[in-house]
Amino acid sequence: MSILDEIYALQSEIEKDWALVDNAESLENFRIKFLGKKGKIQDLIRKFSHLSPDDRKEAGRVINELKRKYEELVQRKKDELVSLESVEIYDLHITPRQLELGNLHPLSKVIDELLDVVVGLGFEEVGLDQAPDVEWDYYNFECLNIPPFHPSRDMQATFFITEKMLMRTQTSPVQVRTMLQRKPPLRVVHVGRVYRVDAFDATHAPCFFQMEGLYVDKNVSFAELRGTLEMLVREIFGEKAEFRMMPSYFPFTEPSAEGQVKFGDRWLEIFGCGMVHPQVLRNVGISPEEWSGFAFGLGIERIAMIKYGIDDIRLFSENDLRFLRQL
Amino acid sequence: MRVSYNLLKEYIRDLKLSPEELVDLFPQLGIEVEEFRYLGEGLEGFVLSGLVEEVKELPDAAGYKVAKVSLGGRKITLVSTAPNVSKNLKVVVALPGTRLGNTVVQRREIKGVQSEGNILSLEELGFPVSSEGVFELPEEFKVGISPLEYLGLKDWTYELYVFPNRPDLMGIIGLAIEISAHIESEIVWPKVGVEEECSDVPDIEIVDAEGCPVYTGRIVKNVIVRESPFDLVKKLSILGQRPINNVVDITNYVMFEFGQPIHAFDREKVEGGIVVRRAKPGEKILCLDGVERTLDPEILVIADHRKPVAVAGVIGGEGSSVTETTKDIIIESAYFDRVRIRKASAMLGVSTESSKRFERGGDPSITEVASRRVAYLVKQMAGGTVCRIHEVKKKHLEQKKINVYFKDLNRIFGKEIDPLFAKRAIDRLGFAVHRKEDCLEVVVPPRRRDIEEWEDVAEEILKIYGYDRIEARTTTCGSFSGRKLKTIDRELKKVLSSAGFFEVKTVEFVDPEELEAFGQSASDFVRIRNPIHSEMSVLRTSLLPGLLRVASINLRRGLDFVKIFEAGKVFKWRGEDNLPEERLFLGICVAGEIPRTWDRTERTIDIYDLLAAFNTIRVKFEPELSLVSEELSEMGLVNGGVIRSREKRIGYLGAVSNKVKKLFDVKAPVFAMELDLTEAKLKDVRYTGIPVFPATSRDISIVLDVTSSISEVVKMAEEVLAPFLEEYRVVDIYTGKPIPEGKKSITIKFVFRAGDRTLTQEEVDQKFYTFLDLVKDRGYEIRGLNG
Repeated sequence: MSILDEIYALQSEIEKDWALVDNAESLENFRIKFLGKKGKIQDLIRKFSHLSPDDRKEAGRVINELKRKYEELVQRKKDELVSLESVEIYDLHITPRQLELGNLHPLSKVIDELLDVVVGLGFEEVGLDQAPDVEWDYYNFECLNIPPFHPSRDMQATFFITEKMLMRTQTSPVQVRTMLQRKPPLRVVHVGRVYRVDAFDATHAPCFFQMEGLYVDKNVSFAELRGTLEMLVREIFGEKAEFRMMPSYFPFTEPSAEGQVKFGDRWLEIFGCGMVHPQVLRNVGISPEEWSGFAFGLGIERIAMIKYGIDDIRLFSENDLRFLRQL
Repeated sequence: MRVSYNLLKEYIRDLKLSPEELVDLFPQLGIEVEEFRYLGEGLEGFVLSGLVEEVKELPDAAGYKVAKVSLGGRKITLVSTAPNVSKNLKVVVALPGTRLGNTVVQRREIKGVQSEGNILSLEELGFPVSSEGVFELPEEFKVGISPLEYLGLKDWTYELYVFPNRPDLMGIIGLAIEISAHIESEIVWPKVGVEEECSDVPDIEIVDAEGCPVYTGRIVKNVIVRESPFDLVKKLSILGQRPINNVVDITNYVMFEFGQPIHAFDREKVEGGIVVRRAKPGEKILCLDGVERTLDPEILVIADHRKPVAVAGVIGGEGSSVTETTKDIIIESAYFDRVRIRKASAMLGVSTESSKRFERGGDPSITEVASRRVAYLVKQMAGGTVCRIHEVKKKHLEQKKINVYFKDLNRIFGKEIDPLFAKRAIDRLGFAVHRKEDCLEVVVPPRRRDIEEWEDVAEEILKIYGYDRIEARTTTCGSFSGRKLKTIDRELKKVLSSAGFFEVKTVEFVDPEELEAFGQSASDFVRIRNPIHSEMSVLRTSLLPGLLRVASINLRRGLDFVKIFEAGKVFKWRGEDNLPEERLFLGICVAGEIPRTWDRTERTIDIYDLLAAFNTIRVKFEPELSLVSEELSEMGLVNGGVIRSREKRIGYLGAVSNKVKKLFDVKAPVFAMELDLTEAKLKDVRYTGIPVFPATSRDISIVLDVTSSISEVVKMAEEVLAPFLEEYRVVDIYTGKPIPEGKKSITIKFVFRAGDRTLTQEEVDQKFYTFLDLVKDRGYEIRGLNG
C-alpha cells in the first residue's frame, strides 16, 4: 500500500467519523483521534521519514491539505457549538435582582448644591467650632442690635434654656463670632440648624436649616449685594428666574431688604438681607468708617420645597423612606 | 395693623392709585400686605335696600313673622325672627345668592312660607357687634338701591404687617405720610381746632419718671355718653374694633388715626388725682376685659390717690371706665417707656392695641395734638365743656441731627446719586433737610425714632428711589478663594448612602424618657424652659432615640426593613455658666425583615447588616476602628460591643433590647450603633499597588460553643500568620448533625500572599501548621482542614 493510498484510506475514515460529529464531546474526541499530537494524522506523518524526497514532498502536500481542512472544520464547528450552547431563554419582564440603593437626605443635597454655588462666588465655609446651636442671648440678640425687651424679639419666638442661654433663632450669631475672631476682609458662609417656638404644621417647624453669607470689605455696596443674590438665584432656579428686592427690616442690617423670586405669578421671599448695621460692626470692634459689608440668609427647607415641589415641611423630619427614596 | 382704602383716601389728597395698585405699593414701602379684601365681596349685586310694607305674625310659630318688603320695582315675601321688624322700616335685604361668610342665602320654605330672602343685621353684615335685631336704615334712604356704600362696605381692607421698628406706621396718618411721599401727594390733616372753655385740670403726679416721660390729662365736663354715630361705628368696625360708646370709640379711633393710644377715665371714679407709679407688690386691679390681675413692681400703673385705675399703656381698669352714666371725663394722652410696657404686657400675658403701639416706641411729641383731636371729636359727638390740657414732662427729648455724606450714599447705591434727588426724597418724608457741600444735614422728626444713623436715612432714600432700581454689580471676589469645610461626616454620609443606607434628619428636641431608656444620664440633659411639649423638652445626648422613632414609624407604616443613619449634633449640659458641649455623632440603625424574592429567601435583618456598615466605615478612619464585645445592657443594648479608636472608646453598638423596642413600639429586630466623630480623622487614601504574585488559601473548621466568639482564633491567626496573611473570611457557619447540641462549626478561609514572590506550598503549610498547633493547644476542636 503506497503512502498515498494510506492517506486516502485515512481520509475516508476521517470523512466517515466527521459525519458523526454532532456535539462538543464528539468533536473533541474527533480532534484528539485525528488531529491531536498523538492522533492518526501525526502517526502517518511520522512514517514519511522512510520515503524518497519526491514522495515525501507529494505526501506532505496531500496530508497537510487534509490536516488544514479538518482543523478549519473543527474550529468552525467548535464556534458553532459554543454560540449554540450560550442560548438560554430569559424573560426580560421578570423583576430583576434589586440593587440596594441608599440616599442622602434631600436637605443635605440642597445644602451641598447651595454651598457649591456660594463657594464658587468666593465664600469660605465656616462654623466647625464657632457655631453652637445653643447660644448666648448676647450673640444671638444683643450683639445683633436686639436688646432685651425689644419688640423685634417677637419676630423670632425663642426657646430658652436659662435667662441668658437659648437655642439660636438664626445663623447670624456666626457673623458676630466670625468677626470677633478674624479681621476683615471676610467672605464667609455658614449653614446650620436654627430653632423657633413654632409647633409643627405644613409650613412651620420648631427647627430648620438656614444659610448665612457675610462679606465685609472696603467699599461694599448694596449693588454688590444685589449682584451676588442675582447670581445665586440664577444658579439655583435657572437663567430665566425673575428676581426682585423689596425693603424689609432686620435690626442688624441697614438698609435691610428681602430678595424675592417669582414662581408662577407669585413672588416668594427667598432671602433676608442687607448691609451690615454699623452698630453691629462697632459691637465687634470693626470701624464702620473703614469697613462695610453685606449679609444674607436663606431657609434651606424653603428652597428644597420649591425645588422638589414639596408641600409639607414635616416630611423632612418625619423621614418616611418612601419620601427619602424619591428625592 | 388694619387699614382701609377709603380711610386712607380721607387723609391723602388726591389718592389716584386704585385699591389694587395700593397692594403693589405697600411692599415697596417695606410693609407686607398679609391680606387684601373687598368688603362687598359676596354682597355686591345681591343686597338691596327695602321697605317693610306689611308684617304678620305666624299664628303657630312664636317669634316668626312674615314680611312683605318692597324693593322699589318689585315686592318679595320673607320670613324673619328679628324682634324689630315692623311696618315702614327701611331695611337691608339679602336676596338668594348673597354670600355671608360661609353661608349662602337661599330661597327656602320656613314654617310653610316661601321666604325669598333675608333681612340683615349689622352682625350678619360682618360688623364686630352683637345685633339683637335687623339693621335699620335711615327713614330717608331710597328703596331698591345698593346700601353698600352707606354701610361702608364699598371699601377694601389691607391687613398689614408693620415691622417692629416702625411705630409710626401703626396709625393711618403715618401710613398716609409714607404713601404720599412715594406718590408725591399731600396729607389732609384731621381737624383738631377746639376751644378750651374751662381751666379745670386734673392733678397729675409722675413718680416713675423713667417709665413715663410725658403725661397729659384733660378734663371734658358734662359729656353725653351714648352710642356712637353710625359713621364712627362703621370706621371702627372696618378697623376690627368693637364699638362701645362714643367716648371710648373716639379714643380708640384717635389711636388708629395717630398711632397714639389714648385712655379716658370717668373723672368721678378717680379719687384725688392721677399718680403715675410702679404697682405695689400684690396690688390688684379688675381690668376692662373682666379679669382681675395681680400686679408687680415691674409694672407701671396709673393710680388715683387710693388705688390703681389702669395698667399704664396696656389695659384700663373696669372701675374707672367711661359708661353711659359718666358725666365728666379725663382724657389721658401720655408717652410710656417701651420696655416698661413690654414687661407689663409679658408679665400679665395681655397684648392690646395700646401695648402693641407703646412697646414699639412711638412719638412723645404727639401727646398734645392727639389729646386735642380727642377733645375736638368729643365736643362734636358727646358735647360738653372742653378744659385746658395739663402736661407734665419729665424728660425733654433732644432733636436728632444726622449728616448724610454723599460719598457714603454713593457707596451704598453703588453709583453716583443725585444730591437733589436725595434731598427731595427725605424732604417728602417730612424730615427737615439742608443741603451742604458734601452732605445733607437731616433733622429727624420725633415720630421717626427708628432713624439713628446715616444708614437709616440712606434706607429711606433707597425706598423712594426704589430698591429694585439698584443695578446689580458683580462682587470683586478676586482676593477670596471659597472653600467648603471638609468634615468627616460629609465623607461618611457619601459612603453609607452609596451602600444602601438612607440619611435621616431628626429633631434635636427629644423625650427625656427615651434618652434614659438608652442609659443616658439625666444630669447631662440640656432642658428647654418653654418646650412645645414634654416629648420635646430636652436636647438629645444620643442619636438613637431619633433613629428608633424613624425606624418605628417606617415599620409601622408597612415598610419591610429600614437601614438608616444620621450625622448630627448631640448636647451635654455643663452648667449655666458654660454653653453645653456640642459633639458630632454618627448613628446607624437597621431593623425589620428582608422579604423573599425569586432569587433569595426572606430573612430577618440581623447584627451582621449593622456590622457590614461598621466594617465599611471602620477602615476609613485613622487609626482604623476596632470592636470589642462588651455587656451594654444598661444602655438598652444586648449583644453589645464597644467601638474603639486605639484604646479610646468612641462608640458602641448592639441589638436593641426588647424593653426599649416596646417603648418605641417596634416588634421587629433592631440593631443600632453610635459613634462620636468629634475628634475622629479620616485616613489619607494612597495607592498601594495591585498584587502581582498569586495567592493561596487554607480553610479551617473549628467547633465552638454557640455562645463563643471566634475573636481569639482570628487574633491568633493575625499574629502567627503575619506577614503573609492577606485576609480571612468566615465561609460557613453550621449547626446540626453531626455537630453536638450547643456547639457550632465555623469554617474560616485564610488567604496568603507575598508581595515579592510566589509563596511555596511548603512555606504556607509550615506557617499554617504552627497556627493549627496553637489553636489545638488552646483547646479548640478542629473539625476539618482544606487547601
